Amino acid sequence: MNYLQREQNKQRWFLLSPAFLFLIIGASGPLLIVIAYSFLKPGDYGGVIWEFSLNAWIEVILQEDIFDETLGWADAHLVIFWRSIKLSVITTILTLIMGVPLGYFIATRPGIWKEVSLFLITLPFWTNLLVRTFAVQELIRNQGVINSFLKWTGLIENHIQMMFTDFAIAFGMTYVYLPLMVLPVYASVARLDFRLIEAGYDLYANRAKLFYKIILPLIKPGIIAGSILVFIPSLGAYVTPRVLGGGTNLMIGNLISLQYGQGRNWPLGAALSLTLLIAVVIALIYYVRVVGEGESKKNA
Amino acid sequence: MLRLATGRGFSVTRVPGFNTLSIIGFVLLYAPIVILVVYSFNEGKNLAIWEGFSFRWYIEAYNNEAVQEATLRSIVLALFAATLSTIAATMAALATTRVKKFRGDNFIYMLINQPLMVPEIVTAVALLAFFALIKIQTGYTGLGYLIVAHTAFCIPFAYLPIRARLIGMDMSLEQAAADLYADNWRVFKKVTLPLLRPGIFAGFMLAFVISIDDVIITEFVKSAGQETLPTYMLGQLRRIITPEVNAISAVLLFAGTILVSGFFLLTRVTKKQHPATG
Amino acid sequence: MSQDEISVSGQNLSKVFRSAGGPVKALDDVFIQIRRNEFFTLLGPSGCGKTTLLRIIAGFEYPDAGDITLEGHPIKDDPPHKRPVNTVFQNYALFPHMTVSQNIGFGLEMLGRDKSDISSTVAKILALVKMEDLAGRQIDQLSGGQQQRVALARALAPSPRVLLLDEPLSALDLKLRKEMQIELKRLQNETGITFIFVTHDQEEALTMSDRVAVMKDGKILQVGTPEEIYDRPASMFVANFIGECNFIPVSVGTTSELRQKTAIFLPSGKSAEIPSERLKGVIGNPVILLRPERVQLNAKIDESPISGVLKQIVYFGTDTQYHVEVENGTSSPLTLLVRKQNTASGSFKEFKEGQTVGFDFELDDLQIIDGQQHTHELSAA
Repeated sequence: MNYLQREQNKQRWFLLSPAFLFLIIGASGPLLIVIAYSFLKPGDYGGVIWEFSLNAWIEVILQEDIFDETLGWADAHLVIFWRSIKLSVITTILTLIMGVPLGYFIATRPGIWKEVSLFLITLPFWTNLLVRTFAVQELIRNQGVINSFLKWTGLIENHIQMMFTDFAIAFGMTYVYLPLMVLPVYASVARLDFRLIEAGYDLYANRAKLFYKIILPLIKPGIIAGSILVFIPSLGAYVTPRVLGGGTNLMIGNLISLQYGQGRNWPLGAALSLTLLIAVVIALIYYVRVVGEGESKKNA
Repeated sequence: MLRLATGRGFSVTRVPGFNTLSIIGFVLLYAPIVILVVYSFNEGKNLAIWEGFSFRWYIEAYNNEAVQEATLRSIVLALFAATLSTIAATMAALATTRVKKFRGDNFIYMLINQPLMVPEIVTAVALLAFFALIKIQTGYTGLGYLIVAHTAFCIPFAYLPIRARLIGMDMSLEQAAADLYADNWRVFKKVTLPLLRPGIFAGFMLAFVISIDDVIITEFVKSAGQETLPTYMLGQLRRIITPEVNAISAVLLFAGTILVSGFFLLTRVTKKQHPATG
Repeated sequence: MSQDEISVSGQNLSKVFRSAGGPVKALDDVFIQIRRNEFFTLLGPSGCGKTTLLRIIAGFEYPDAGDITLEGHPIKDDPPHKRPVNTVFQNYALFPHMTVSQNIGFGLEMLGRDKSDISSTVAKILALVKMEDLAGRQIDQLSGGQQQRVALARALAPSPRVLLLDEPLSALDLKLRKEMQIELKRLQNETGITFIFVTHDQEEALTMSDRVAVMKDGKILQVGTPEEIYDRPASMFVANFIGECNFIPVSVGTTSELRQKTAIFLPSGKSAEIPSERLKGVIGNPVILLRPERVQLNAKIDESPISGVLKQIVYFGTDTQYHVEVENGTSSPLTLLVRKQNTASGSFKEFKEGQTVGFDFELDDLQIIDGQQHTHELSAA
């Protein structure tokens, strides 16, 4: 190593140390604790007993029948897993339906309108998640805006129960995560060479057909990226299901939280966290593949 | 033969239905928030019935001691977290941008981006467990845990705009400074830092917003009674919904909007400055 | 050269870069010696290694092998800020957040000079580059030519031992470029600082330099004064890179007379005696290099060593260029160029296309090189 390289190395690790420190203590290090906890026994009042046990992992999907001690499916958990996946998929689809037109629209605005509309779409995303969820709640609760309006117009007599349902959660998540779909779609459309589209008009006079045959395939990477970006936080959502689903419609995040509260089963909470994490990592790897492929194709 | 001249009413980019859907989308996106803000000025308690314009709920929130304490704590926490994370992020950006690949660079990128990739609930319970261990050993229950946790997840948010600004910076400027007898520290102080400033401000503002708005991690890491504004609001959920929460929400929205707008302006204006570096 | 006369000296310098297409030898065992108070130019096509060599001297690159000294002191392990060497960058690299004066005074500030010292030096330098009234301007308010001069002033202000210039004129338009060429030469003379100049423009190299090093593929092919490089190029590549050149393959033998002198035999069959030192280094295919302006056309073909058919006449205003096709014994005839100044009006009408003309040249004007050794350079050039 020459003086340049040695200097650079020393400098680099010095520069990285604060971030490294904070992230290890405040983010990554604790994950190791979680991994350890998932292999321990739960304490009586929360916490753990430092004895090895695989129970937590087993309890993720199986449970012991209290009477005859046979192992069966942990129905309660499975229902929650299913709900989480179902609602995440629904949210992804709903954000797709709204997000693709929005992303396309923003990318095709002229001049300064592009920046303005981009700002307008992103702004809600940076506002408080809780506030946005409350806003949805104000809309759909029994004395909320929608119900009051419908009653006022005489369309209904009694309120429609929208809160504390799966519908509410999906609606809320769609609302909250919509910008995450719009931005990648926007980026994809912005990269389009519209001369290709012009050429397409020679082949397909019909606009709708043109969209499906030419534009849609070209922006597929953006759509896939957006879908994954919506799916991941949906899967791990906590605030939205808690506010809009109440205590009855739980998602994985709420289930995990329960184990650290009244559930008093920290190891199970740890095992569930890791399960969620693994699912997210798989989705992320897929995302990197898709976006990475797109990037290298661009540079080729 | 179709005429493709623009400005003739024929737009190559128009897809039928998209414009309408998009306008609807924008409206729907802002409607709930706007309604929330509007009703925070509602004189009456009932959300559905408009009883007149009033600052009543704002005044109630302002006088509420719990709210005062939570607000103060939120701001102090955000200041600490934004400052610490911006410093850490600036240093990290300097180390990882405009350099050739180095050993462990993938690990560092994953580390820095972890808060963006890992679901908050996972990090929150992990911190709960980890800090519980420390609490038992030391008995410390102060703001420290929250500061560390907030700083950690603010780092990637401060990092991104700083890194973006750094990438756009021409390395020959720093080479010129070194060529003119400035050692590493002075190159940084006299050339890199002044040019990096807009990015650093942008990063600070973003980190501040993220810290103020955080719910999940704060909820799990806080000790009893250590409320921030979002956790206070979450706690109010179990009781009857008072428009006081609306008022607080409106204030948070307003503050967030100002900060984010500032962020956008900062990261935009900088493109126009210093054309000579191109 | 005695040691005192040497400014920068490099031995066995090598540098390899890793790139997508595999490792690239930017510098291949380079030896170079630059004198004090010299205007020295590194000339070559892009990718030849000239910029790499410059950056190694500046301290921005570290050589994989070899050594570098400045006035006798080894500087290889010194970081840039410790070397009394300053650089004028190709894109100027002016600090956008500082004024003209602050830019120029930067090096002096870093060296710890006091404020009055700095301001007087800055004023002096501004006068030297003729930019006195622009002291307080911001960088983005300057034109390209002005920025270039500020960059120059900034590098000169700390009175470095060596000034490095990395293609500083390439962004300027033609007229400004020519003005600056003269300016730079003047500055070098006045300040007495060693200038090391990098360019791919051979005309620039010829007009400004005391000596030129022609580089290709990481190697230095030839070092010499502009006249030496132009009149006595050591290889086909150098000859082709600098100006235009004619290549005539010949064979070497002895005269038929009793004296058995060395002679070259032209394709036409005619021969000429030459001193054998002129054939030094020529092993395989001997090739004659002739500059187009050293050749005269002769209507009387019998008097000339070579003759051919005038295929094309090109009028350049100042000169006329004649393209002559000559038989050289192979299936494809050789096209030779002749350049003649139009000293009198109508002189370009002296010869007509289609006319058979003879070539006249002096033995002193030709250079003989080994065509085989550098055939790869001919095909690349």
